[in-house]
Amino acid sequence: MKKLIIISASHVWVEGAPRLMTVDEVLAQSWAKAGTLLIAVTPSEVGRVLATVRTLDSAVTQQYPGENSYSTLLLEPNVYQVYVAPDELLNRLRKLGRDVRIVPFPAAVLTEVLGETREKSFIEKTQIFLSAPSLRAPADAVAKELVVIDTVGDQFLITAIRHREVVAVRVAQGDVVTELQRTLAGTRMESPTVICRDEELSLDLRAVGFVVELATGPGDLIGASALKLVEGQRFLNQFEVAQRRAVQSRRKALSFLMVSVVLCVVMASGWLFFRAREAVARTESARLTALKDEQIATLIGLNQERYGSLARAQSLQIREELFDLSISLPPQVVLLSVRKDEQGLSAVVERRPQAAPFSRDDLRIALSTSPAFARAEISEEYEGHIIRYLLKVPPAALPVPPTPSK
Amino acid sequence: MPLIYAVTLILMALSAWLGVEASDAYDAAEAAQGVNLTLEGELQQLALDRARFDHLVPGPLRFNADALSDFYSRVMEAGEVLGAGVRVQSRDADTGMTALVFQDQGQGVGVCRVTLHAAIEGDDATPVLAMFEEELAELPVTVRTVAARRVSADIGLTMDVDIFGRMQ
Repeated sequence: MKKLIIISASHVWVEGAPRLMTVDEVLAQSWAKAGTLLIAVTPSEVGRVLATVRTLDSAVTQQYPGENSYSTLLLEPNVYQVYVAPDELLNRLRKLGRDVRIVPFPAAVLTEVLGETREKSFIEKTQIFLSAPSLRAPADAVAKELVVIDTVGDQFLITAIRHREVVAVRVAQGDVVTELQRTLAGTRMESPTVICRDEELSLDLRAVGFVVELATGPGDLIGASALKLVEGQRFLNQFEVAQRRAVQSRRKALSFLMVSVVLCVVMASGWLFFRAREAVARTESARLTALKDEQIATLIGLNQERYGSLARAQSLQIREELFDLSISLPPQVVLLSVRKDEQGLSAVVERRPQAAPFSRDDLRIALSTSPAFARAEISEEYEGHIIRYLLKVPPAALPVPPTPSK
Repeated sequence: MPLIYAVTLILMALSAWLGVEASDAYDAAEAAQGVNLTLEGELQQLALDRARFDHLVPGPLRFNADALSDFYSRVMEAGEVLGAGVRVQSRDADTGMTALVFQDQGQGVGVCRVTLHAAIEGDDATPVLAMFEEELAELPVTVRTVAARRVSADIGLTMDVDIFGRMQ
């Protein structure tokens, strides 16, 4: 890959060339054998555009009308950095070889001074995306205002940077301090850090009070080593923009198609799965129903053979309790009634008229030997001179009646 | 491109339809599984019902009419022997249902709920009760309630009896 940096029509830096060339000399060369040509140009205009992804192309052409190509970079949501270069020059450059990539040089300068000397891997990008916003490199970590000065022959390329945005690019000649002051006035910078590679120039600038850092990276120009990293910011003419939009549109359509295919497959799988589950459940239902019918048939047979015994076994009988009561009661009382049901066993006894003295304790003592009524609750009932004793035995010992299911 | 969008739309519509179908299938599967759970519960109950018969001696049920006839003949005979007046009526007679009918209790068993009344002269209910209970003990019936009451010189007996018979 051959790298060229076009500073101006008369100053073109060519990788590996012993001297600076002019644009005409560059165009006269036969570069076809060089394979890919990576050309960085100084844009005719640098600025920012407020637009959305959909309106970016129209906003850029509206803001910078004419036969131009554009390179855009997202600075923050709905704010784009725009580099503008005339189509006339770029079309001639594109004819130099089969694969010519033309990028804005200030983008490479910016990349180099920000220290992004290599392209981030997919894993690194993913890590940055997933990391908490507070852990990402804050914008303030980068010096707020920078001015990069590249010395190219008798010319200076001055690139003014604020945060991550290139705010001005100038090619100047003559007194560098004066040109720098003009640039600062144009960009309203107060005390930026100046970065240059020329040691003598740095001393001159320090002498007049600038804060200067000497660039130590590889290459003749600041930004030359970062050209490959900004390949993605190529200048595109309107045809290429339309082509890119078409590709994006096709990619979006294909993405929708893929999503709909995946959705369709998921839904179809769900439908098949639940239908299969339903079929299995229905088969099981049929089996259980057959089993139930078989059980019921067996039970009907058993009922016909043995239900009589079951019914008899659950029958209540009272003769033993009645006999027990009749021999336990003292002669002072007479049994009026006895009853046995699900609520338990109960009896009513009445004191005989003119009987010997008698009390409830006498009755309790008399019944203490009775198996059925020994734990009976005894209460009294008075009606004139008649006294009745109500005996109640709780139903704990009574059997539960059968309830065969249908 | 239009073709891609058309296919996408068709696939989306198909997905929506499949989603509705899947939802229906899910509901149907859940309902079928609910039915299975109910059936399993019923089978367990049937197994319990069946287990009750394991230790029972044979005691066949007769057809409804025969069971009722047996019951009548036994209690009337006992009443004659004891010199007691016997009356049998439906337990639902209070509601106007005077006919003795068998209700299906399930699994081929029918039940007729009656009340037996008997009145005897005397002051000891024990032999009367013993007689009736012995007679009923030989029939496929369940005595739910039994009561004896002295009314002046008589004894009144009341028994709520379930008479069981074959429905088929």
